[in-house]
Amino acid sequence: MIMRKIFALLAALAAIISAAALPGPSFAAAKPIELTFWYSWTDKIQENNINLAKMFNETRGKELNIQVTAEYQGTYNELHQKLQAAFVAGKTPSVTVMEIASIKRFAESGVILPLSPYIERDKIDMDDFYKGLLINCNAGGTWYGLPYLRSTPILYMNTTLLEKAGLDPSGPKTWDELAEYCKTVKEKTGAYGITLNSDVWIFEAFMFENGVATLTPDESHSNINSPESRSVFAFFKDLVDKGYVRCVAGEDYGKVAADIMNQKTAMFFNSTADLTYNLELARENGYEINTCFIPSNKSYGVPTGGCNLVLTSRQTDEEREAAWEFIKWMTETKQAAYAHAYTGYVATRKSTAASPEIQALYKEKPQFKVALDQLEQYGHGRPMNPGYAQVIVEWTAAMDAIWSNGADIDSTLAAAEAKIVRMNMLAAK
Amino acid sequence: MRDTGKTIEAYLPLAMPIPRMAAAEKYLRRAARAATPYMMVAPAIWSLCVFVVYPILYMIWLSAFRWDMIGPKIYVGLGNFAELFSNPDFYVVMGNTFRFMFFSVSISIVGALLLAVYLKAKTRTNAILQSFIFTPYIISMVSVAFMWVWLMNSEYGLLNFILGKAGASGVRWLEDASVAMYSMIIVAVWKGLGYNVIILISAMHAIPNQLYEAAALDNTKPLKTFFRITLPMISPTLFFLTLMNIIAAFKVFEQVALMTGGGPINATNTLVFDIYQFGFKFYQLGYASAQGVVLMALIAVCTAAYFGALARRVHYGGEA
Repeated sequence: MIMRKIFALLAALAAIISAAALPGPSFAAAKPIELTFWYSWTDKIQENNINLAKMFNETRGKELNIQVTAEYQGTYNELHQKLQAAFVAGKTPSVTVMEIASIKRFAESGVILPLSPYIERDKIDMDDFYKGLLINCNAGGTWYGLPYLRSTPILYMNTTLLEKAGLDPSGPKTWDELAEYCKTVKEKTGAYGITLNSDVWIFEAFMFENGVATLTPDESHSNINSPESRSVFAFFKDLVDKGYVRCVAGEDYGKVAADIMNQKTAMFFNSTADLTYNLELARENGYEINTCFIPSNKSYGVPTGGCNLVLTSRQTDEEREAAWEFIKWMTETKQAAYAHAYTGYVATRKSTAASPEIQALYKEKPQFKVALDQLEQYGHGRPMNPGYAQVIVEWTAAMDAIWSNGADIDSTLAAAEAKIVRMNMLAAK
Repeated sequence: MRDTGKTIEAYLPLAMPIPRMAAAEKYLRRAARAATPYMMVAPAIWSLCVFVVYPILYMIWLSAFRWDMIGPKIYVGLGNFAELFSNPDFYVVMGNTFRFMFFSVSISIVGALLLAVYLKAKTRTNAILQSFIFTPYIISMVSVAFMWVWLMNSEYGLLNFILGKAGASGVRWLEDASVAMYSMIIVAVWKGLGYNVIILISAMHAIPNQLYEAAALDNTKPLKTFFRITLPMISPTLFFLTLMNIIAAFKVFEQVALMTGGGPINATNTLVFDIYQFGFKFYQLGYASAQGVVLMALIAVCTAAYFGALARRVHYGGEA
């Protein structure tokens, strides 16, 4: 008897719960398509992503009945890890940012979709994007991403210190001048000429300025033990040994930032993405910041960096269309201008740079224009070989060894090269 | 649990007296009664299987493949192990791991033992000191790492500031490849010491006071009292602590990831950090799994060796 009563009660309960949980069919038609958008980094960059997603939801998203939720996922590396785990588990975000060098790996394994059919259908003017930015949007002749938050490294200068040392605040033009600047700053002000951390992305710029890349053009070998690489290592080692430049070990930028804030260094290399941040920091701490091209040796040259927007494969056709609409909107001239001004990432489109609001910005803050000019004339791509991540660790170790632990250049680089070969880091896998 | 003389059936809900049952029903009842304990441990066993046994088996299986997490798995047999053992870096990493383990555990245990003797008396000052010394243990590793990175900053850090005031030249704690590992050991000891001290003090408090009274009557010297009474009586705890410390030291990860990233020049790259690096930075899951198997074997062997060598000499109390 009791059992029967309990069963009856349970059945009634179940009926109530299921009735409450299932929406009526009348609501389904009006339900918007919900998309998830993953992004990296905090501060200005995060605000930019959240604001843009919100603007989309209120304008184009509202028209097309699409609602986008922006979700923070840590650094690029953490985002990539989570994306893979999500792909294996079968539930990925619809749209995500992706660090430019990783596009090929995710394209080849089918995690992200070719954008070429959409680009052709909707007649996206790819020529409006700067050429240097498009190299890492393409894998095997197919478009997989559109340039979003893209950057290049530039040389930042504390002009307050430079003027104190009697130097031209427009900055050094060549490596010889750079060395001269470092010497003068140290002698006149006591601060370091440059504080440098072991960042391979910056080293890529040094290599381009000597006419080569970190990897050979087919990406099958590294140039770590090339004469160009040895000369870069020697150039900075000499400045470190003389006490004009401080090199801190490791990829961690925090120690460089401490020197900047305390005005212990006159110059540093950093991404344009942090331009707004660095200008604010300078204002708060009472010094002036200027930017210039990374000085030229044989030529000027910088890698590009940052992320593209990509479309993931594991979703319905309807969701894909909606996700593409979001990518398209995010990379349009107007939104590109918003992101550029909000963060300092470069203007991705020529039409963006030409727009009146950006022209006004350049007049007010000329630092923003430097990166664009550098990109336009001297921007390169980054290696896309999946094994490059391992080469980067070796390269970082070599920088730590030579610049901050006094190791011998020739033997260190020969050993690094031997290891890259022995471990088949760049072999097709 | 104390023995109350009742069998386990006495506690079971199904053991109610039921009048007049058919034989088949009686059999079913008995089967249900036999199954009850298994049903009760089933949730625990289930979670153990899902979260411990399955991942271990999966890792062992994965170590026989080359896999980048999203592409196809390529069977390589023992290839990952061959690659691992022929890689000179692996021995550097193992050397780092053992060095970290040996120094951090020995300093931490010996230091904790000395501090425990010093702080065991139940006074108000000691209570305050004990809570001070325990505090690092409950602070999150992230905060600890950031604090020490600042303390050890070669230009602005407090440690070098003090050294400078004392007239000594500064140390590049985390940037000099020959020093970095010892800096990591300092932080590990600082963080783990308090826990060991508290556990050892409570073990010392559990020693019957009569033993000390007897020793006092015999006019035994303090050092002898320590080696003949205190140490043997706390040896089960000490044994357990050392073992736990060793295993924790082998598994060090957050500290490395947050403070040095394995650098400079691989000087602080330990086994678990290397596993992470190969797994989630280079996407070589098979190779990382092979390293995981090595770590598992290492901890198993150490545990077994430790038990074998010491278990017989540990005083567990009671008769025997």
